[in-house]
Amino acid sequence: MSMQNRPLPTVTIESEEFWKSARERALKLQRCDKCQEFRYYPSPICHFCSSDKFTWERVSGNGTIYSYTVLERAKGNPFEGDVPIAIVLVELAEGPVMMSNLIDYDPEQIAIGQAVTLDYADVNDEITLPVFRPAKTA
Amino acid sequence: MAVKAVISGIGESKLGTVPELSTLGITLDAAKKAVDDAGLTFQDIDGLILHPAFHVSPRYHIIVAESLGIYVKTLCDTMMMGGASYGAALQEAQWAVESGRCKNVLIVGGEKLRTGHASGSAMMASVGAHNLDYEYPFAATIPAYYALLARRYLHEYGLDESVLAQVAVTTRRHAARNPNATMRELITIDDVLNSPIISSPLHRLDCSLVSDGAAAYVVSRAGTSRDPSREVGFLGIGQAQSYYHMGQLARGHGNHDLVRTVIDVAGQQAFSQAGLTPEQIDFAGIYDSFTITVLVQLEDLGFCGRGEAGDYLATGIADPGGKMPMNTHGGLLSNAHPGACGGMLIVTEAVRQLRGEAGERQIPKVETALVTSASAVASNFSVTILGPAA
Repeated sequence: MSMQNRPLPTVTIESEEFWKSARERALKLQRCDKCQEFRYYPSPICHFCSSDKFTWERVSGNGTIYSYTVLERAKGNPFEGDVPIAIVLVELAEGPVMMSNLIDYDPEQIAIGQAVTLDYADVNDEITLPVFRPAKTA
Repeated sequence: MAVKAVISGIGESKLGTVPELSTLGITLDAAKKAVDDAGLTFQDIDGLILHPAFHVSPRYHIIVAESLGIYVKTLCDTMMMGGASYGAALQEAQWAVESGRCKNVLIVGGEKLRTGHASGSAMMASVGAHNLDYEYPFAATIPAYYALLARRYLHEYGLDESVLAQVAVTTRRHAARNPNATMRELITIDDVLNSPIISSPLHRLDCSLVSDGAAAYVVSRAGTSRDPSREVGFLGIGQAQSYYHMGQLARGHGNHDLVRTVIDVAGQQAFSQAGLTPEQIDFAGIYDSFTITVLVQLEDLGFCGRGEAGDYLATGIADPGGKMPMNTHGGLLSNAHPGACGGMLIVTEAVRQLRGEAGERQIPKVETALVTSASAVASNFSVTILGPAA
């Protein structure tokens, strides 16, 4: 999938570690030290218990598709020439739901509940997007 | 005696394709018409709530007031709730008038989505209407967000895309009776399903139009406009907001999640204040940014059961001549969608219906009109129930 036309996120104090871990292909999310909940997107305090104590923990990369769409027309957007693009909401085994892209998928097979695994797609030297691919069946 | 607030005047600019006016120009045009409709002058206006246009000054509401010659005002702000702003603005205007802080509050918004910007979707994304760091990099356009909602909705209730298409079909039946609507040709379920896919499962005819336009209304003390018999009263009003990121909406909270929206809370506030039930609504003005937006609102407001909104509309209840006609002007899907302020056209249509000024699409007997606003992928809502002023 062509990634060079993607809008770039702004890396902030909160998200620096997240984007660094994606670049290193070992994605980490914040886990609250107090209530133990994983959270996504990166934020200064836990939105479950308001604690500001947290640890960046590597996630398993396992998840299931909560919802999906295949974008076929994106007039006026920088990535309009890159369609179709599968956009997914993935429910991670750790709890959070992430928006992402599905790569290397069979359009006939994509479905809610489908098991997916984390992968990575470089946009440039600084930004790597965490994306997903269908999980290999045993 | 307690002061009661009413809608005293409404105005709309030319809608559709309006290259000859700027965003400010089209906004002022609607404002003039609304104030004139109320029989007031700008000297009578002491409050202004602006529906935001994209890429404008953070002082745009003051610029609009300045352009209209309103020097002193005791309320002047921009309501930053995207497509939900106009409903929340009605509530704020009602509070301002009934508390005695303002006599006449002008609510106005205008946008040139058709001839003013390169692309409505890219524009909204570029200003952060949706998240720029964790969503837009994944190519999430506005239709893609609603497509994710629609796909989950269809999955939860085991439905196919035809229930979405029904909304477009019902809406077009009304637009066919509005001489000013952009799209007036009757369509079938198959027409919707055969239109090109924008972002699956949403087809082109599931998506609202891209238009230029502006609308305005004036909220005043009851009995103070030129013709009090044309004033429209607030029977009940409410608003509710949930979250911004789609992942957070999906993760949910309590009995709410992506497809079970918080409009039930806004609806309970409005219905309870009005002492009414959904069965007693004569006109439904349901914010229709996409077909899916209408389905979740009808269900969460209690007009029908969950997963049943498509079948509910297929009964014809919301058609011309039905028990509760919906979006008789043709909505954002078929009449016009000038960006975030497009839903204001639902309020102006509700007022026309209650006044008996809706021409050939007039509902014979209409005493209650429910108007919703919705934005940010079904996460920000307002519900207003309008009726006779006295």
